[in-house]
Amino acid sequence: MDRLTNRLWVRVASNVLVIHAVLLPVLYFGLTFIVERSHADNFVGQVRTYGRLLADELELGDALARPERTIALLDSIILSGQGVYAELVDGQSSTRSTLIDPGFGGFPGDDFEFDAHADHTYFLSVPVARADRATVLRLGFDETPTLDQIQAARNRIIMALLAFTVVSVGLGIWLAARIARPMIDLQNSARSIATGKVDAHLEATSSIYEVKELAHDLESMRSELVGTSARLAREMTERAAAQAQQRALEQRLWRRERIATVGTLAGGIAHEFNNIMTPILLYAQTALDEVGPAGPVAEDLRRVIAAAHRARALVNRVLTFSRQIESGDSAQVSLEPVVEEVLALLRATIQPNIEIIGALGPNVPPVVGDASLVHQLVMNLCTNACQAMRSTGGRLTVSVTHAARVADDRVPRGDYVVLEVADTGHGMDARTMERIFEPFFTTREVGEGTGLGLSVAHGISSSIGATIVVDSAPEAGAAFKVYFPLGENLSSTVQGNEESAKPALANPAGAGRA
Amino acid sequence: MPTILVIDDEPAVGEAMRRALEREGFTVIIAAGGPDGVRAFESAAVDVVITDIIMPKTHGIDVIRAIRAKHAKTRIIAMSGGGNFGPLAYEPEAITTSAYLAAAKQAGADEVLTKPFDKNDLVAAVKRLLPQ
Repeated sequence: MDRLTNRLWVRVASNVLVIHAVLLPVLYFGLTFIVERSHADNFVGQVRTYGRLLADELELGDALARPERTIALLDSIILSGQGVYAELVDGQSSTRSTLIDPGFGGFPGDDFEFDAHADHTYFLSVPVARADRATVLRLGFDETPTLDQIQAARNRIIMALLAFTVVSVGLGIWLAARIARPMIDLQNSARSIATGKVDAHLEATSSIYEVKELAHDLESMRSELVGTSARLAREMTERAAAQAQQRALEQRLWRRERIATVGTLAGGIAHEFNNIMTPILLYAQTALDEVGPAGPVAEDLRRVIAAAHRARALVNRVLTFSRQIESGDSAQVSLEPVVEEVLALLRATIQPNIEIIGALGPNVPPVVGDASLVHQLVMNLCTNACQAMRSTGGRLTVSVTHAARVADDRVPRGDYVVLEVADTGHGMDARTMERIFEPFFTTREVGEGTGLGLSVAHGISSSIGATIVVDSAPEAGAAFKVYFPLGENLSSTVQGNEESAKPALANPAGAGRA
Repeated sequence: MPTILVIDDEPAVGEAMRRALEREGFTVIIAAGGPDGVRAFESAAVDVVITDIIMPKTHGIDVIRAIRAKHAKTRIIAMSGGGNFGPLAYEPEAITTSAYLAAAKQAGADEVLTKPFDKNDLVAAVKRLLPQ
């Protein structure tokens, strides 16, 4: 049995019992009082009527004139079972029935209440009217039969009240079960909802208005909750997606700021470095002029000058990264000849265990940029790829394609020429990929590379409005993609560059920050 | 002989340029900053002024303007060592070398040189500005 039902019927049954415990004694005593009074009044009425009839007979008949008749009449009272005591007092003389129990001591006086004495006898005196003298008929009646009737009535009342109690408790339990049934249905539906079946309707079959209203209200609440739950789930999904997008954006911004900061630092160092290199170069060239081309230290001076030129080239690469060197005159540059030239150079210089594949798509439109910078960009990416395969060998694939609709979410949607440089080398983990475009960051041994190749490629890409991205995994090679914007993408990029250049040129006094 | 006034806050740069130019027969005056340079220009007959752009206190652009204001026909060469001089934060519009040199030309420089330059480039630039 359900807990709800148990509690309800127990509650109803106990309440009925409590109510009866209060009401039943009241009922019992009330009914008993009425029964007792009724029997007593009836008894008293009967014996008084009987006494009056006897008195009438004595008055009208001849019994008083004849003593044997008087005794016979008094005896007949006791013999008839009506009385237990009969005496006629006539003046100073008294005639008593011979059948009176010897235990009676005498007439004690009139009783005015039923069952007033412990001997359970009701005494009554009835005057007999006679013209010449006062005569009284004294009678005694046994109260025991009436008392027995009263007791039997009491017992019947008790039985009736007990039966009434049992029926009341039974009715209460039945009523409780009837009320509880729809509530149990509701409870089962609610439990079903709690287990996840939120589409289960809350229904209750009942003719009780309150229960029907309760079921209706609960069903309304369930519908509302189901709607709210679905809305919350949808909002949580949307929020999670937005947070993921925000994290990705923050990561990109952070990376960009780090690269920009390093670039700014590199630019500052480059300035100092150029100031130092200027006297070295000038002194060495002046000294070479002094000693002449065949002088004793001429060769040493030439080496100093060559080293200074190399240093100048290195600084220029750093400045390319930090955008200090602006690209030359922007022009339409076709990538195919640039890539072919770079691949030809590579074939002549790299080790033979690296296979080179050029996949140049047909009808690829030209990109906008400085030809020499684009050349350096392609060269740097290819050199980096070859370096990744120098010990194991592998395959270098360089492709140029025109993508009218780029599906890469790392670049804005639009029209692009895509340069892809893919290798089958050792690949990179995510941590390395994060830093790959930083200047001087390298995974090679000391002396095997400056760590500037990819940062310069990044700088060139930025300066011509292109975007460079990388896909890689450890031991799975790497693929660098450069997205050169075309059409509307390009015009927005160029416009952005022009706007960013304006403050620098319009207010050179701003150099006070130097 | 033509007189060249070199204005640079780096003494080593100035001295190296003096050595290179004197060997070519020029008379060279060195000034260690903008105010010194302007004073030197006023006190001597200078044919060509070579000034650094990025210097403390007085900016090379201001030096060019000051000299142009006093003598419109003086030949001026501006030079810069490049670099980015914005604060250490991402500033796409931070002034660049070429922007400085472009501004110097706008202010009146006849030639520009990017450090470190070769001696031959320096001498060639000076000679281009001197009357044949």
